[in-house]
Amino acid sequence: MNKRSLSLLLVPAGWLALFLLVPTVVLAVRSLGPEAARTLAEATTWMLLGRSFLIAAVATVLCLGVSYPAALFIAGCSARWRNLLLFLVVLPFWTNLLVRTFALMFVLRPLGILYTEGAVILGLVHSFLPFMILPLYVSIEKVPRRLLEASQDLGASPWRTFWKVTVPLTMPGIAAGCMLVFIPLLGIFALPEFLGGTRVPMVGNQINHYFMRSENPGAGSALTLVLMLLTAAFAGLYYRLRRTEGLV
Amino acid sequence: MPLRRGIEKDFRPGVTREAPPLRGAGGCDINSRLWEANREVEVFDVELCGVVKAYGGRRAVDGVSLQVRRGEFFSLLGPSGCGKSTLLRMVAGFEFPDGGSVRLGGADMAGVPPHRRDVNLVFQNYALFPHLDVGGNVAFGLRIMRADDIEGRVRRALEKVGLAGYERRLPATLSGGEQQRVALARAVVTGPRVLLLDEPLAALDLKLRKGLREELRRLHRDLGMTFLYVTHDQEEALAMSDRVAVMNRGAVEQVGTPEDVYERPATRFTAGFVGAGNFFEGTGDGRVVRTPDGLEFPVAASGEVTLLVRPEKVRLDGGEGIPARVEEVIYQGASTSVVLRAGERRLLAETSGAGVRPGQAVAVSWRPGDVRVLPR
Repeated sequence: MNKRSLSLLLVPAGWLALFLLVPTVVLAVRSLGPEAARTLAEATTWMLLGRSFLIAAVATVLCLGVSYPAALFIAGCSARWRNLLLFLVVLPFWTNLLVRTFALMFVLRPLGILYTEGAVILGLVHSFLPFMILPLYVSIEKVPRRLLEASQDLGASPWRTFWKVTVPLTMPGIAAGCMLVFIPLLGIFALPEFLGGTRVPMVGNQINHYFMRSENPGAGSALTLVLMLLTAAFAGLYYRLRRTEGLV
Repeated sequence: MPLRRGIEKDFRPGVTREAPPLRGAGGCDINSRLWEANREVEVFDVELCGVVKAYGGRRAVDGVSLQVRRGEFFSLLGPSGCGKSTLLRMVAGFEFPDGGSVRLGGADMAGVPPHRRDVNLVFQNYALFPHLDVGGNVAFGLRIMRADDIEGRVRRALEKVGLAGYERRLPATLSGGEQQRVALARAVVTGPRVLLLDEPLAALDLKLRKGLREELRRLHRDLGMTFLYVTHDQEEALAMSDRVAVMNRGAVEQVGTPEDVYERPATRFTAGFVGAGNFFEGTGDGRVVRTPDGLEFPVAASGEVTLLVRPEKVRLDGGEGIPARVEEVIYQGASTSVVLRAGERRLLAETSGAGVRPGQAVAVSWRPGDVRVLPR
């Protein structure tokens, strides 16, 4: 690495320092106050974190369950169909998340499940599907067909071939998809706000509440920091797993 | 779904035609008397009967009928695109024939998927599972079968292919030759009725190829298993096989022992594909065949025929013969190839000794018994 290539990093590094590092430090300093300590001492805070974790985990698993067959199907299509289907997968990105959420509300209200945990999970799964399908598709597509043939040739039915060859070989895609979905889900607040109402707050909603409504930035900062540490822990775990599996 | 993998790259559009007359194999019709007679005296592990496979109107396999004996080392030999791999994939169950039937051990395989067929395939590019170590790869089929003593059987299979103690290694850390041995062990460990080999040595370098050739031969003897071997390498097919089927454009040209197809080729294609040769096109009157450029061969053939003289049968030391000039001398160690020019004709000779130099004038001759007559 010479000086010239280091100079390339000047602008991005400055940007990160100014808009990421500084705010984080401010946040950390603010969370040292007494309100923060009070908030972290409350059991409800930890219950909230636990529930956010659970909702995010359930939504991630459901997302995986829905996405895997879809990705498998797309990978099995001819090149023309594949491109069309992948285009359809990312198509929702072209519409605003809020608009999509409102549209979902119109569907969920007559079903009578609006403002329930089910509605929140459904909404979360719905909006994060592309983040799961794309990495899964990429890794499924890379599985050599001859390995599937070798498995069947050795006596494994297509079902067993799926579990013994396809799934292990697409672990990197599964892990990447789960991280891409799970981490943003942990901190999300807009979707639970609309679909869960006041009855299903997640950690993101509570942070929003502390900052915007109850004017308690100390508590909000503390909660944010806890969330950040949790996220970092998961990301660290993920990279560690990837390294030991030799998949990096 | 991409189900088109069976098409070989440089497939030539074949003309639709009847299966050629078969020599040494059964007839095309499963009820034919020859076929049934064969089945009465011998046990066949693989029987192909009038097998046809078409891709978009092109017949990749065009009416192939073969019977492979139990315990036989049988090779399908032909240029790339001749349909031999497609045929093998139909035996394995990855492709289904559009016509005709495939039988394994006498049972019709129509509609039977690959995992229910008692055959294992050794792929050209090994196809080892990268997420499993060598032991896991070899144990794969045994685990599916829920076999007893998996560990011991894996160990013995690896010993048999010369890879004792490799259980914990990952395929990615092995050389090409080692990977192919693992693939072999994985395929034979479950004891299939037939081992299918799809150009298993093609990706290896020459020296390794020759070593593995002998090892395959030994493995075949040890196991007593039926081997169905696909190759485009005639030397390989001749060196290893009990019998060879020479294929061209989706059809079988000839079935026979290596000696049969080399010494007594049935068609011009076989003669040209299996080994080199000097070909003379001429017309016979029952006693003598004459070529347009005035050569005479005392062979009993009539009508339009092609005559074949193998290079190693060509003699340069006879006193009499066709006058020719040596154009090139290619020293090959054990033998020497000589390219000769006789008028318009280019002739090939293979001699064991030295003694000829480029530019030298020689008299080319051969014994009448070394001339083979091929139909035109």
